Amino acid sequence: MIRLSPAISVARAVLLDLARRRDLAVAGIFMAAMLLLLAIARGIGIEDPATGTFLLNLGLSSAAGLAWIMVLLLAARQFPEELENRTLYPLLARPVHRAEVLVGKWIACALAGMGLYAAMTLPVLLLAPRLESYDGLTALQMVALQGPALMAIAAWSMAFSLLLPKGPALLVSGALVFAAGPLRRFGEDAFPLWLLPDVSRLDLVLRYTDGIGPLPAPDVVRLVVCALVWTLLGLSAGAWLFGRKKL
Amino acid sequence: MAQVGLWVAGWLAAGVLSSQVDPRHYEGGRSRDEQARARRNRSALAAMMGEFRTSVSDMLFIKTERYMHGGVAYRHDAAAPAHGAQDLAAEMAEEAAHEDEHGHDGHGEEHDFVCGSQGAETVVPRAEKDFRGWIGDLYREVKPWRDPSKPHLHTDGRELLPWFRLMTLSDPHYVQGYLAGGFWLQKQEGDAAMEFIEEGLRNNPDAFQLYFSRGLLRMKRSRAPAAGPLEEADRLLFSAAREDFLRAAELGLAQRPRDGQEDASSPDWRTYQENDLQAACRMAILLSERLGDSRTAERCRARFAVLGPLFPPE
Repeated sequence: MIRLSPAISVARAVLLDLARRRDLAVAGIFMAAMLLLLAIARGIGIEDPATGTFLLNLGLSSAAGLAWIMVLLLAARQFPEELENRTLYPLLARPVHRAEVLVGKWIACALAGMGLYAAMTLPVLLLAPRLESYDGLTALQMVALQGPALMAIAAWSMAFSLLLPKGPALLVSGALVFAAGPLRRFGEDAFPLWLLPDVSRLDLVLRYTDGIGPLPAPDVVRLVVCALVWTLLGLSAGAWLFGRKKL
Repeated sequence: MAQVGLWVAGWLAAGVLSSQVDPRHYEGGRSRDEQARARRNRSALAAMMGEFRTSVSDMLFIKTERYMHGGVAYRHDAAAPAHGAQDLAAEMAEEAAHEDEHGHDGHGEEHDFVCGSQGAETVVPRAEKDFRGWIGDLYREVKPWRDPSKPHLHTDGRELLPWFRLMTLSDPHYVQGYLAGGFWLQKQEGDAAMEFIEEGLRNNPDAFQLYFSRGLLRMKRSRAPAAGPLEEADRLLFSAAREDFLRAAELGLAQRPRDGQEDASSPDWRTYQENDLQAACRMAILLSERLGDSRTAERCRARFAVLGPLFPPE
């Protein structure tokens, strides 16, 4: 049984480490660049609705994409770096289970991703010119589904980092996150392609900027369940690998 | 064991569940509306984004040229297009016309590729033009370099093919990429070259050079003798090729500035477009004569007279 308290302590430590590093500064630079682009676009004055929608789509897609990339990077480096720097050993010397460490790190990565996504999406939604009609409920679904997507990405990236060296792990998990969707669509979801965890199904940016209405509630539930199952699969694989890893 | 079973069951269940929902599966949508897309692509912002995409294609084109020259970088006239597509179609036309005049002798010999950058200076200058002394000598030793006065060394083009694929993927309107890619591809595999050019035509239906290129590829498929009666298969190929040349000629004439010269008023029209247009017109006339259609040949001669003399005086 995993105790929540040690996991949260580990998560806090990871978030503190994140704040000390340059990651936030890099994310801030990206955010500033996007805000600048939007501010310039607003300053110039976008009159064509199609261009406004293009900008909105660009901003929202970038926000989601950057959050995904950041979570991938963050999760993939957690264990390899701690093992290399030998900072994991003092932590494991405490009365804390390995699975709790893993869950704590996963919580921190997912939270960091969600924070970045929120910080980037909110200004885009506020600043991007909205000259066409968009469905508010679809926007809500779009934002809400990013949470489970980021959770799944963090879990899988972490699991791969316990199986492979950092670089290959990043490559494989990145390929899974970004290529699974196109592959499944290309293969029209034929077997065995539908076995690939496709987090891009939780990305509703195009649906939103296309002015399409919200997904039916059962579909949203299905997507959330999928993401949670993928997350649990990733976490359980990670816990199994970490439990058997020789330190 | 039970845990593994549970894990596999979870994976299967998630796969089945996820295949039941595709949020991108819906009717309509602005991103799929052709008119909205055209409006968006006219905007300044889209132009800037498009410029980036075009720049990527240009960089890839330069990359292919360096590969072709074994890594040696040559300088070009700023006004000239990046070498690679330059005169490639005319080179193919020359080959086709040569075969048309002399027939397919079955020897399968290939003409050496005449490099458009022959005689051009290298980016790393030669010793007599290099003020850097021994640093320049060192540079020439460690970087791929060849005396520009010597004939250029060329690779067989096989390794260039992925780059052409990449440059046309990054910018499907990069006609030069399709032309040069088609040229190199036909040396390896004619069918693949035809598919590549067809793809270029789907993305660029007004690019006259691509019709010209398709016509040449069709002619290459024929094994007809230089003179005498044509077999039905060859006749069909020649007819289709002639249609391509005629289409290329008409499109080219419509796009050509009045005098056909390179100047500031027609920045998109270069000498090599003019050469390709003339070659397309010539091929249309030659093929019409070969098909025994003297009326079309005469009509073409009259129609294309605006380009000046297309054939050397007999």
